[in-house]
Amino acid sequence: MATVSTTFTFSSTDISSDALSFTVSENLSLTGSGGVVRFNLNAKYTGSMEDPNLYGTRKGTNAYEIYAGSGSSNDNNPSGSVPTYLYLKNITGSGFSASAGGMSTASCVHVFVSGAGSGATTANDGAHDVAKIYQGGFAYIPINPNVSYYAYSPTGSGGAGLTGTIIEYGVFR
Amino acid sequence: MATVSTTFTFSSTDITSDALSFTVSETLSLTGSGGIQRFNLSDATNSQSAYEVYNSQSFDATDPTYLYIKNITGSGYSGSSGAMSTASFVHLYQSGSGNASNGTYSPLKGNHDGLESIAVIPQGGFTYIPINPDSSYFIFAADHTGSEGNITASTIVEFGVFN
Repeated sequence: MATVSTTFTFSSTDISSDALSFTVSENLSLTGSGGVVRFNLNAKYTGSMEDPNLYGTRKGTNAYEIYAGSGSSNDNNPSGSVPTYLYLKNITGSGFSASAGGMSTASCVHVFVSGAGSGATTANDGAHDVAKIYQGGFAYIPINPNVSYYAYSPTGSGGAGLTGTIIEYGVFR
Repeated sequence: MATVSTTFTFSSTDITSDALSFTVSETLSLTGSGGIQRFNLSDATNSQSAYEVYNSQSFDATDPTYLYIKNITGSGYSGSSGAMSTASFVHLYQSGSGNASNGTYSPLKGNHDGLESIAVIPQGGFTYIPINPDSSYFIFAADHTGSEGNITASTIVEFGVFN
């Protein structure tokens, strides 16, 4: 059993008439699995995706699997009852991406889910995007362990270019 | 135009052999729409007892939009609403514009139309997602697997959408 602390701070001086600021924290009790890795999305997916702003099925084979849930070809029999947390950051343009050569000026990392029971026609078909992470942006999600999560960088509207779109992510459970 | 700063810190002394800690920050340039509100999910009446936290028609699809949700059940605030469940989870799912059950998506298990839950937020937990503005997002209270009927008392959330 490992313990992880997460803290999120939100602050603004001009989104409301008075300054708005809050901090939330939680302590996670985990089984000890987890880590942070870096991945260049164009090493996995180099094709083009249809307009990501429209809904329709996404092929899991066209994206990078960041978590394998039930129904995934990479399924390692994850337990659906174990709390699992996903951290994902689009680090394109934040310095690390320089090593990957020329990068897009507007890379946007899209995330979708897929898996048995997700309403998809097969286990590797997903749905429309659940998150759109712009350069420098991040997401933190207590995920549903029963479905798979995929990331891709589309060439359609909502994000241009695939060159050197790099993510940093971790799954903790 | 409003500016918002968000910071996320992750730290652990025992998930790896050496202590692991990192902090990420971003500065959001927003149109000025947003705020924080509290809602008791037992009061949800739309979309078959789920509560819509973001509507796909609210903002332009190309505008970055951010969703914050915390399950505050059991964190003090819920005391005012009477007895609470000991295992309330807030499930987040999404549905497209238009009728989600009209051939595009199969119904979620249970009574909700839409996709499988994309986030499962335990008591005291939170999520922060740069959402897809073209999709609607709903929340409901259930146990961890999504089965309703086991949660009979109040599950309270605090959430905000910033655009």
